[in-house]
Amino acid sequence: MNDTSQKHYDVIIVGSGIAGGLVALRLGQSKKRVLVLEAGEPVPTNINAEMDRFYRADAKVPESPYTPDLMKDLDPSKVAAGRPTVLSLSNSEDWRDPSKSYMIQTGTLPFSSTYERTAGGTSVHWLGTCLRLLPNDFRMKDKYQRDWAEWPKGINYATLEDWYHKAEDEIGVSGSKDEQSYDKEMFFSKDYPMPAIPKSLIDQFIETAIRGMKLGGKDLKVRSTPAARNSQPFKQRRTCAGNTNCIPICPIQAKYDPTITLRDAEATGNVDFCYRTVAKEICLTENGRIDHIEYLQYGKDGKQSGSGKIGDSKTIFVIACNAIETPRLLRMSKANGKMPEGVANSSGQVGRNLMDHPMYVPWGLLPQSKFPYRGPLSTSGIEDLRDGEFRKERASFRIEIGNEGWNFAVGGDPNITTVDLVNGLNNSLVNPNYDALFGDALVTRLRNVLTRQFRLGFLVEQEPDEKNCVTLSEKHTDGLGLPRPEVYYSLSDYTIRGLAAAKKTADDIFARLNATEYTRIPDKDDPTAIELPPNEAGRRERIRFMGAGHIIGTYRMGDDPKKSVVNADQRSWDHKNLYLIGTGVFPTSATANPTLTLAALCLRTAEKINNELVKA
Amino acid sequence: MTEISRRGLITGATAAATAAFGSMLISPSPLFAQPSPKVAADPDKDAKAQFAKLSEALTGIDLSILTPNVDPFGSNGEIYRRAKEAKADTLRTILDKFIGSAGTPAKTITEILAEDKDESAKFLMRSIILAWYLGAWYAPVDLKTNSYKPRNTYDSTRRYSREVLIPGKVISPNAYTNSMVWRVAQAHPMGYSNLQFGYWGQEPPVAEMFTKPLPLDPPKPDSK
Amino acid sequence: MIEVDRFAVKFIGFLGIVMLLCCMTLTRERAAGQDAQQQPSGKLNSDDKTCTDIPLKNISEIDLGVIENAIDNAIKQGKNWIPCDANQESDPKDDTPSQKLQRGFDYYSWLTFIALNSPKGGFLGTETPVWETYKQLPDVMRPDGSSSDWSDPNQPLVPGPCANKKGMIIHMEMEETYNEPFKTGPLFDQNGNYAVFVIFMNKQMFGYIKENNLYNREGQETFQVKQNEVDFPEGNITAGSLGAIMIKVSWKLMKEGVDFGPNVTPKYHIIDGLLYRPKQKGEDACRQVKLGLIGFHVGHKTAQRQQWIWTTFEHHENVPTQEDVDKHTTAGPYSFYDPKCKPSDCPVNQVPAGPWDPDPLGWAPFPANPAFRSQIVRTGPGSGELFQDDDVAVLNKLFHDWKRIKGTVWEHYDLITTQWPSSFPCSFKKHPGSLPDPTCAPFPTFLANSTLETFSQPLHDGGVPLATSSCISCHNNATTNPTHHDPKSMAMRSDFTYILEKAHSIHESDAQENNK
Repeated sequence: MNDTSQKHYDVIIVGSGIAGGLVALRLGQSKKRVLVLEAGEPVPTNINAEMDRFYRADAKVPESPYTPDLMKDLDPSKVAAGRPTVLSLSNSEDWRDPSKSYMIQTGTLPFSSTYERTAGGTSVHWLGTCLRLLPNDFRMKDKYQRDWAEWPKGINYATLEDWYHKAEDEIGVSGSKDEQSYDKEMFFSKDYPMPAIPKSLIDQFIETAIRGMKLGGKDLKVRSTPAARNSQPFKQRRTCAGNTNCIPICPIQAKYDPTITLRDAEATGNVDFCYRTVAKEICLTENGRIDHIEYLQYGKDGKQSGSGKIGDSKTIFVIACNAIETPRLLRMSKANGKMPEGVANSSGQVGRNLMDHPMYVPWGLLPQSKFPYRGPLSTSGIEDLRDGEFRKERASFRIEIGNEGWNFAVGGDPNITTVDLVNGLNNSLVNPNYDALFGDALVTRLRNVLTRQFRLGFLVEQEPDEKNCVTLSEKHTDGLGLPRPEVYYSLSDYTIRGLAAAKKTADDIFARLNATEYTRIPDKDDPTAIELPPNEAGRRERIRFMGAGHIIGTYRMGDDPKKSVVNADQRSWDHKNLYLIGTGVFPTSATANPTLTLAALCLRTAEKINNELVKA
Repeated sequence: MTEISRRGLITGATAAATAAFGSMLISPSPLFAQPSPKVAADPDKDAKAQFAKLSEALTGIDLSILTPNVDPFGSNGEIYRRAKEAKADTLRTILDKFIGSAGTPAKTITEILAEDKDESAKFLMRSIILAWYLGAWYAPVDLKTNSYKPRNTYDSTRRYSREVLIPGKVISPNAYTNSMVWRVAQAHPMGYSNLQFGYWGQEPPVAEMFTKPLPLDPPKPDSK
Repeated sequence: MIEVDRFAVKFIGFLGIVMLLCCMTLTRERAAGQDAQQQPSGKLNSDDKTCTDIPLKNISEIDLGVIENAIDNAIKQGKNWIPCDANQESDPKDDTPSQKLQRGFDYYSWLTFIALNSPKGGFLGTETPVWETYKQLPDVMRPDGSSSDWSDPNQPLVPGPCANKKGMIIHMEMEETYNEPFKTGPLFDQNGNYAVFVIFMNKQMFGYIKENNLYNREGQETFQVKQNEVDFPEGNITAGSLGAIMIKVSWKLMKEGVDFGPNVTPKYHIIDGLLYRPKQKGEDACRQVKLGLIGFHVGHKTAQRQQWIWTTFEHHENVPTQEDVDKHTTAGPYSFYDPKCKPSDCPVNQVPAGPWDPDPLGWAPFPANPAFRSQIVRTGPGSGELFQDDDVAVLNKLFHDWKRIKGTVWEHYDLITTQWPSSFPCSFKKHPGSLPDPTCAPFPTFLANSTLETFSQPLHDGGVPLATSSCISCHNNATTNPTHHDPKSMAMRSDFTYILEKAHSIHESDAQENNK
């Protein structure tokens, strides 16, 4: 791998996503020698190829701009560095079919979030939401008796606040601290680096309509969502122009993505990168330190091109491969058979407690035209319902307001509605008479529907459950011969009660908006169908849940080495020179999109690593 | 005789050579030729013009937007080509009837549909509409197959599945960024916005600004 | 409404009143005496707002004699002879073919190029081109947010190490000088030297910024909160006013004995440059060099094209075209391409691995990788690709062969093409921000200078919207960068220029000051 194998590196980071990127940047800035191994392709010179792929994609799913190329690399057993895709989750058969789906799923419920293995990681196609966790999110055990959802004592809102602020400065978050006033304990030492993104017309409409609405004793308010999106020119990047395309790709990089951090890390002169390099095993010394990492490499043709090992026992190793690939790597590392369940796993928790934010997405038509498909995909939300005594009984949620009409909800609008009204179908449910229109009639009718579309998203906190886990498939391998991840996923009653509460809230809000609902009720045999507990009227409703793209919990942090994999610094209990970073360390998924908290924890860890290196 | 500053003459060229400054026509014949003979006249030129008018009637979008005077993308030509490739005879029939008809475009289309026994005209015209609206080609045969699906077969898991998405193929990046459905929505293609920061908090321009030609301003007095 | 900036008061005595663009009257600058060092005659002041329209009678014939007469008359009358606007039919509804319209713009571009590269009151030659007397970006958007005056275009903000040295100051401490827009990457010539990039604005543009206090972030906030809209002065044929012009150039370090010297016929327009790098010691903090012009962008705001008209020129020896590469006609020599190097050894149009900042590292060759040479190909839009007939090549040859250019360095500069908003009446309308598409259909769709947008050139099989370089589409995203003391403050359209976002805050410790 170039000349890098001859150098000694202070730190070797596996994974170039936002977690690995931020740690690489900070250590590079502190003049430490850093090597980053990335399984996927490098940062491209420009985004011509990615935008071209996106524009040409028939299904503009989150992974459509990126590689492995969706249209070419179809069989996961032949792809060198594969990953799950939305397309493989798109119907009731493919998610269980190993010839289509990279992850082998063994539960009755599909784990519905996907990730990328490329420079910048999954956050290349994140929405950009940068909410902080609530003070009580860190107190789930003490306050709400959710025993297994315990954070380390040293990690709570007060100790993380400064790191949140640093993460917001580094990434470039636009927001208003005055608007984040839904939790009195949630203090802000400083305001955000950029002012809040203006609210969309849909936000404004909902804001007016719900004024005075109370739920669970709380006043509901529509608040701008803090986001990694430029509300002014920032660090030589452009101001948001509302391309309405944050997922999958911002054409002008007004949304932060980790390739920016990778470039900054490279600019320090102290960070090297090896791409198309897949870590396959973490190897130990006699006394339990990490000695080196073995890796495989592949060429642009996707075929294996080499192998090797890197690092020594003085190196600090940081694994930042997301909460599915990290446990996969740990489990593939068996220390010559001495650790059959993988390294760093004396607690037995590696791979366990896999979580997401199951999302309930209702959609409908507003009574007036409020013009979706404009602005960022989401600019505001309702955060007031994230906390309360109810958390003893049922999961909590936050509400995201969508600006993209039914694009996310029905999977591909305005295409679906347009085809309906031209070809006389009714997949969107707005065309019950199966009209097939043309000319002015088409324009009028289509405009009437499209300009009134809207959707909400209820992101429900999932609590940890040991049986939701990532292990290694015994039968199925990838293009490099490495075992693919096997996943078992389910939702607990606590979480399902949260979904039920979300549905009820959705119904109340829709009524308040005087909106007409078009949310599809899933069929009974739909794998993503959840049957809710009986509602007030005694009926059991059925809803569909979606993944939020948040992969959480599989190498949790804690104060007890018997019950956790890493400590508050994200350092392995078992191996002193091993850090496992990312959302995998969260003991519970909490009530906010996790990336900002990940960033805060990683900046904190980078400082710890740096201090350790300085002392050595 | 014009006076030219001496400075202008102090170049590599000798002064003597710059003596006479009369008319400096390089050659007596026009410098820029009319369209070069190596470009053959387009045999489909008239058909494409008719196709544009048909498209206007089918889509409800003004001709000047479908075929602007300066047309870097040639959407009309591209969609015409695909329609011809799919069903040349049907297309010819439609165009002949359309051009030959005395009634309004909408009425003409209704008549064409009424006479359309094998439904080939119907589905071809739908393909044409969707090509303009979505920048993707939905073949008439696929539209026909899917139009007879049993009602309510939409499976809510099938958000991006091949069953729900009638196989449409994006024509090109430019076709997508110039597709018409976004105009009807008074928005812009997702992934392609030329609008300014904060626009989403304000009402969009009125609907007609998107589907009809922009109005001419009244003549203004000399400014500044 | 005449507003006199407080800082300017001291200089009023020998400056004259700063030209104000919003007002109806034309006030000549007094006492061109300050230009005495450069020009013997005080008659012409080419930073005034005049312009000259030299229409094509018949677009098929270009009469160089007519052009000369018009230029000479303008010079005699003390007028600028930069074109006011591209003189196109106002309403191309009459089915004018795009090719013909494009020719009209390309003709305008050549006139503009020659006029800007001429000295005040002259025609080309060896005197300082008028654009080099325009103000550089950092002289307007000063680090402390202070205002500046037009009066000393030859005495810009001079960094300490450069005092008493002659030459154009190249601010290597600014990333925009060595890293292409949005940090897309640096460019290295076949000697291993950085290409450097400099931005200028003319007096009309400067005046608007100064009058409206847009040269610092606080001023931008005040401007926007009062509900103003950024609207630079426009070129107008009828009114005979020039309008705002901004220029971006790329320079190559010249090598003695090769590019200049006693036995060398120069092929480049060469100037004295001062490479300012604050982190270096001694002479290296402000090194004297010779720079040769390799790329030349002009943006001109005009009444008929509210999206501005964008033109670009390149030195003939910069790079081969994709066509040259495909047909193996890459003879060279090229500044940024080695015909003998194979694609596997010299990947085309790629950036080197960083770090890229020349200031902490030292100068040339590129310290992070001294062997690196950029291998650049111009992938389009080539002039030959737009239309069947290669009009731009014909036009280039016409002007190159013109006696007044032939044999000078200017015969080595090629027009690439001109981008202009093609939708009528869209491009005439004020307040483009309120249109469904504020860019009004730029044509040609994509445009890149191989030395200035090196890494955003089209892919081999065509350009990709928003990803591939397009002057109008990209500049359409430009906004102001105001401070936010007032809750109503927000970034707004800056009329197709990124210059405004480079403003600094008056208070350097302002928490909102973003990292540059």
